[in-house]
Amino acid sequence: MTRPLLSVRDLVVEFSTERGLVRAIDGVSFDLVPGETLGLVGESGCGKTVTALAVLGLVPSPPGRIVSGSIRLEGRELATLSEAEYRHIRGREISMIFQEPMTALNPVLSIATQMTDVLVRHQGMSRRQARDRAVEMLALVGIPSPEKRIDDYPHQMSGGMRQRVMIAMALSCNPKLLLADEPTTALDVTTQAQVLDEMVRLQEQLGTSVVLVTHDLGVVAETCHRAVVMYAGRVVEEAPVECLFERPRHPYTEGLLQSIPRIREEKLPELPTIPGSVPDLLHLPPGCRFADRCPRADDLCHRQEPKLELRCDIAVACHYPNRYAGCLE
Amino acid sequence: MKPAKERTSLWAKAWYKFRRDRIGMASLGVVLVYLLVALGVWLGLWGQGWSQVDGPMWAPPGPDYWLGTNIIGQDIFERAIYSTRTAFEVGLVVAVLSTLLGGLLGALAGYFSNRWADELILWLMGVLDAIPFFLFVAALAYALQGNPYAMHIAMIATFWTTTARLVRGEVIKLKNFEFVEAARAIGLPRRLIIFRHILPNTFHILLVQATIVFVGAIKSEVILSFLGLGVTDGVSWGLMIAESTQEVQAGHFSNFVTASTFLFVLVMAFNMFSDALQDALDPRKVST
Repeated sequence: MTRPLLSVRDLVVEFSTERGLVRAIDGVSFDLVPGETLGLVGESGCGKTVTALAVLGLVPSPPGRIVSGSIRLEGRELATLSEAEYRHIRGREISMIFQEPMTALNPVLSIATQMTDVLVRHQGMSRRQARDRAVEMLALVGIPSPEKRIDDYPHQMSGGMRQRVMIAMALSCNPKLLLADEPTTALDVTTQAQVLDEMVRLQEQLGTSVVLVTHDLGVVAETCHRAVVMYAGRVVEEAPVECLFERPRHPYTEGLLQSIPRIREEKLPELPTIPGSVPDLLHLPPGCRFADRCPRADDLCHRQEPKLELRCDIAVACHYPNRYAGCLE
Repeated sequence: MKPAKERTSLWAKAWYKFRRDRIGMASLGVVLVYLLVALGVWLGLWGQGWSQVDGPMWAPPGPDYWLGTNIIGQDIFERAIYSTRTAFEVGLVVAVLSTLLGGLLGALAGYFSNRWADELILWLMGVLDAIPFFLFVAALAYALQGNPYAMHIAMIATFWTTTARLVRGEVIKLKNFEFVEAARAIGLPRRLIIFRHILPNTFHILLVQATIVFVGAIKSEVILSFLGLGVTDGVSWGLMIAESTQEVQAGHFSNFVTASTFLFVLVMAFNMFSDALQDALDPRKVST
């Protein structure tokens, strides 16, 4: 395996709330090799976004805090960087695009101002050069007549266009790593597909590595090489995408896949769901966090938390994972 | 850097809306007339004879003295005209400076809400708000004895708190918006985030607040001058009303009515103008 671009090890992030200390992420680890797209999948509140924010050093603090663990970008430790040092990494080496393109652009500044700010700051360009580069980037993400649209204000653009602008802005400094937090959730389905295509194309063209945070398994199947499935602040399964979809090991992954509405051969009385709900992070069960909802759970599961075990590129945290003949897919 | 067309489009829309507001346009006209009068005084075109004592006592209105003369024979019209300049001077200085101060401290308090900077600013606002305005001005005027700007300073020191509170609330709302998070995610320093990304989003508040303070300052100036705490060099409507207290008892109303009318029309027009401005600048209505 090639040297990872991003390596997250045993990351623990805690939030202090009125009700007590909450571990939003509890020992998350994953690697990302250059040029790869990694999906971070899970239900709301499972820690996907917090993981992405932690990588950028943007965990809201207070109340949040990185308790332990390491985040390495090309071998360089980020978790201990000072705020000032981090600012040089944000936007230049790691960029982020956000869920809500409607609010992620400043309504009172033109696109040109917002895009050139980043370039002037990180690349030391003149305003003139930065503007040319910004126009170029807008053209690259498929905005028609970019020389004209660059002087628009965000409210003059549609949701899909704004998300393209966000992508253009995020990629304008050629970052090594792009964090995309639900980049298509707020868009309608047609626009979603276009924006995703655009992202995949740019990712291949520029060789940027991407961490895609999403709850939409369809998006993962379409764009990612590998996926990390999270549950209640922990990684439950990590596998190459084809593998994950065809042969899910963890019962949670399996449940997720079954609950996707799709055209099936047999008629179902109702859409399968995973019974129960995510455990309260303040009162976690002693054993496996999924045990209460798991059809396979027995005494062992309720007593002892399973470890994430890596076997030929696939990691599962389950006492009774699905087993398939042959290891490599 | 930006073509003028795109740059103005936001303001062009606001102007378009404002133009259709008849009351707003009429009040803007009145305010502009006052502004012209004030500018004329500044340039020395008229109102220069405000302190000359050349007429008879209490002359009735006529071709020589359009609105008559006061108790010592000064031309009331000239004095009212000159007072327009005083009013604008006080209004503009106080409005601009208190809005700047309020915007700056409000933005800092909002951005650092619940930290020590916010606590300090809130404490300062609480203290200033707790002191009765006229006592505060009197104390300041006394402390800065002889300084013609004692009144201005006192007004700025008290008027910024309202602006700061409004801006603070707005900034607390704005700083949780994703565009602020996005600005952080591209590595912008805090200074730029506060003053380039957040503060401009409160301009609609600042602008309207400045017009309200402008009116408030003019009204306060009149009251303070009436009490003898205000204008010390020159004349103002408040001083004219103060003079007229003796005249009204003797049955001469011209000084009182003139100063009150000048004041009333300007304050009324400016209030209506700021209402119309508020409507025109409402971002939800502008961006549709």
